[in-house]
Amino acid sequence: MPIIRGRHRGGAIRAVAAAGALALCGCGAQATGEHVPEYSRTPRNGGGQIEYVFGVPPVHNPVHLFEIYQPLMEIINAGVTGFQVKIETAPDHASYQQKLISGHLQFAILDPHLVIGAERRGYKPFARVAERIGGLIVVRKDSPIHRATELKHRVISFATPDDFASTMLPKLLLKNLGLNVEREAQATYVGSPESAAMNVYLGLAAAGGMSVAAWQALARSQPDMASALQVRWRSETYVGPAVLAQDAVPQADRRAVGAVLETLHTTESGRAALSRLEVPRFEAATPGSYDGVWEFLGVYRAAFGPAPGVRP
Amino acid sequence: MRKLLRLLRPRTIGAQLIVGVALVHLLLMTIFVLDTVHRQRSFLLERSRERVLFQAAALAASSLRSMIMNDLEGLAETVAAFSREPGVRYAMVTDKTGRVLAHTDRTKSGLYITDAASVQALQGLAQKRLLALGGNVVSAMAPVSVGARHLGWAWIAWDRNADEAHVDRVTKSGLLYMGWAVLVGTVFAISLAGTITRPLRLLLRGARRLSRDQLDTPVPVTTRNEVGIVTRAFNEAMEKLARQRAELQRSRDQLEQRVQERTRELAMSNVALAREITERVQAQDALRRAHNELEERVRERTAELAQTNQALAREISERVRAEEALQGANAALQRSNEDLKQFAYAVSHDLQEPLRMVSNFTGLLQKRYSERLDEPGREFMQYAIEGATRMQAMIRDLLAYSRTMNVDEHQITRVDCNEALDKALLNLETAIEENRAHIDAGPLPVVRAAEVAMVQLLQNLVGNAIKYRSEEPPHIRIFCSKVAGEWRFGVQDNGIGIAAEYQARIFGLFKRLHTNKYPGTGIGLAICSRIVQRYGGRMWVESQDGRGSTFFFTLPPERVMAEPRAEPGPLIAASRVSEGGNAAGL
Repeated sequence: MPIIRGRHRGGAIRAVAAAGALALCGCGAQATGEHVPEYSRTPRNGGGQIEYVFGVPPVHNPVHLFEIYQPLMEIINAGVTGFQVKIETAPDHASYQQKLISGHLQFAILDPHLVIGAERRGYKPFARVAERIGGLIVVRKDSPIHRATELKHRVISFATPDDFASTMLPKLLLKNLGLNVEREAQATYVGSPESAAMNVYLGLAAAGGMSVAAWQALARSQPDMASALQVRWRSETYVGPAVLAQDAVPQADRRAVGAVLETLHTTESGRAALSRLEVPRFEAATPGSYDGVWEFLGVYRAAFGPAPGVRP
Repeated sequence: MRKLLRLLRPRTIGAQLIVGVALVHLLLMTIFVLDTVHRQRSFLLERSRERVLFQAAALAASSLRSMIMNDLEGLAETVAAFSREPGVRYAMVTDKTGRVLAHTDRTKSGLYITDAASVQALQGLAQKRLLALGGNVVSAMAPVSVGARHLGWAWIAWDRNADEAHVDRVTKSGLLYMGWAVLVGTVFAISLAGTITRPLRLLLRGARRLSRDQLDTPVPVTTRNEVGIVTRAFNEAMEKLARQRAELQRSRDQLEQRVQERTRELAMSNVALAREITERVQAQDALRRAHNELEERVRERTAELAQTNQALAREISERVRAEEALQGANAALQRSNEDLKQFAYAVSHDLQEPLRMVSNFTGLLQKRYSERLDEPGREFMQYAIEGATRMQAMIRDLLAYSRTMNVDEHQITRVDCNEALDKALLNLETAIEENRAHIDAGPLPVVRAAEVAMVQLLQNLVGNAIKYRSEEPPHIRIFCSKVAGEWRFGVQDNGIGIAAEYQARIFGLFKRLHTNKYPGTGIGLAICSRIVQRYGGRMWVESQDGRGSTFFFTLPPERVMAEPRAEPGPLIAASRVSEGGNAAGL
């Protein structure tokens, strides 16, 4: 029960003041009293249904992620029974992986190169983004650089070291073009692909690494800046990010979520949600869908050492 | 009740003013204090409302990222940051179901809010709202959401004790100011009452003096306000009243005085009238008597006049006859005088020739035949010569004297006596020098006469003064002054003087006192006297024997044409002559 206690202090002063105030305003003041909440270990309306945490990688700031993923969560919640999903992200990829490792996440979206490691932590991919992903290198349109070796000793901006499409693929691309970014250039990690492009645009970096999807998003969101840049080199493409479920999640719940994801493109609301994610559609996936990534990780390891974010 | 109020009502203006000002101050300050407290309370409530709503919204916004990331530690830190604000009673973040994700009291994290009011609030619209306001705690909740998507709630509660304490202070200050205002107002009213009522009291005293007819003391004007204006008007009215009363009194006094004067005048008039009547009666009586006496006297006088007329007629007849005899005698006298003048002239003129022959031939006899004569013969001869010579002198003087009697009227002219004296002194120059005479001449007038006569007159007098000198050198003073309406001339000397018994004889013809010692014929003073008489004057001498003489002669004022000048002309000439004498002998 709430406690609404009126507090009428005695004393002539307050009485005079109150009386005067009442006399002057000719009406009663707002009801005196205070709100004192009561707490309990169980909700007033009893226990709720099961709520799964749906992890989203921190590729944007949390609010933006919420804006683009929350509609998807709502569609999923609308399409399943017996449980609900709730979006959750992390301040950075390390924290996000830590939540994954700790088993806090029941569902999670991961970049391809992290899928194999997650499988070791009890997760299995059951869906994936249907579109393949790739990386590229952008320079200013007025840049004199046409060969990767011309970037020696120059600053090259990237999003984060463990960003598969925006960092790892462009770095391996440059390695294949004859430039070892880690040894022959100054790699700077500026947090996001958009920031990497901004550094190039402002002349703070001679070149920048981005994913194809990020470049396309930049062209849409900031056409002026994008028009001042141009894509100099593009990498090979790989299978898109995976949607994984914890092994503890019942198979039925996993299938229910998978079904919703695979049919998103068939409904208006689903397409709107996909549009926000800049994903054409989801399709079913299995652990074998990411075998090709094994080869990439071997080359990358040979060039730059163990891939970041991939924990054995 | 009305009686009580009437009894409590102040009776004096000062008391009314003091009580009125005090009550007005009390009323106004009470209203002011109540209004101020009310406004302060309202302001603080509104500020509390806005602040708690703002803080709830701020807590919601600050919790959003952590909530999306399910960063409970981050949420706890955010809530702790808000709880550090002074006055925060509690702050917490819950999800939509009311599960506490973070709370200032960490022990409540993970619990569920279960009170009905909170549950009802959780089920409401996702918008910030005020949970309670007006007590000592004000609380609000704000949704944690992204756009329309609602994640949970931010709750915050503020303690309003500080606000209430502030209101208490404001109230106390207001009551204190109210007390001071009443006190200051009362003191001011007392002072003002004294200032206002003092002139009123003075005016009241003045009115009382006026009622006792004391109009001489005006009421002092101690202020310039309306009371002062009334006081001045009162004083002016009192002064005017006093003035009118004084004028009335003066008019009454004047009227009484006029009545008294008029009464006095009437009494005097009556007395005078009575006297006049009496006098008139007496005068009429006297007039009647005088008339009678006059008629008597007229009759007597008429008779006397008749006698007098008769005597007068006789006297007139006698006088006419005497006058006719006198005129005949005058005519005979004039003829006799004329004959005498003719005779004297003829004698003196005609005698000169034979006398000259006698003198010439006696002189020739002495020259040619004196040696033939013996001593007595020569002596006789000498006597004859001297007698002839003296005879010649006497005839010459007699001729001169007769000339003075025959002066024609056409010779009368304007004669400056100073110039006439100069000429006379010039004629006497040799004698003056020889006798070392000192002459002082005062200013002399201009007269109407014959110049030759005046020169002769002065020359004779000065010449006599030199001639009849004493052992001392002659000192002669000529002067003139107006005495008793006539001009008096004087010639004073230090000569031998004239004895009193001879003073009347010296003006006759050929009258000489010193026949042997001093030469002369004795006709000089006769000529002088004759000249003076001819011009209407008279002549005399004042002298003592051996002490000098002063010859005076007068001229009537009609003879004098100009009075003597201050700087005399003759004095210069006389001085020149005198100085010449001194230069020769002294």
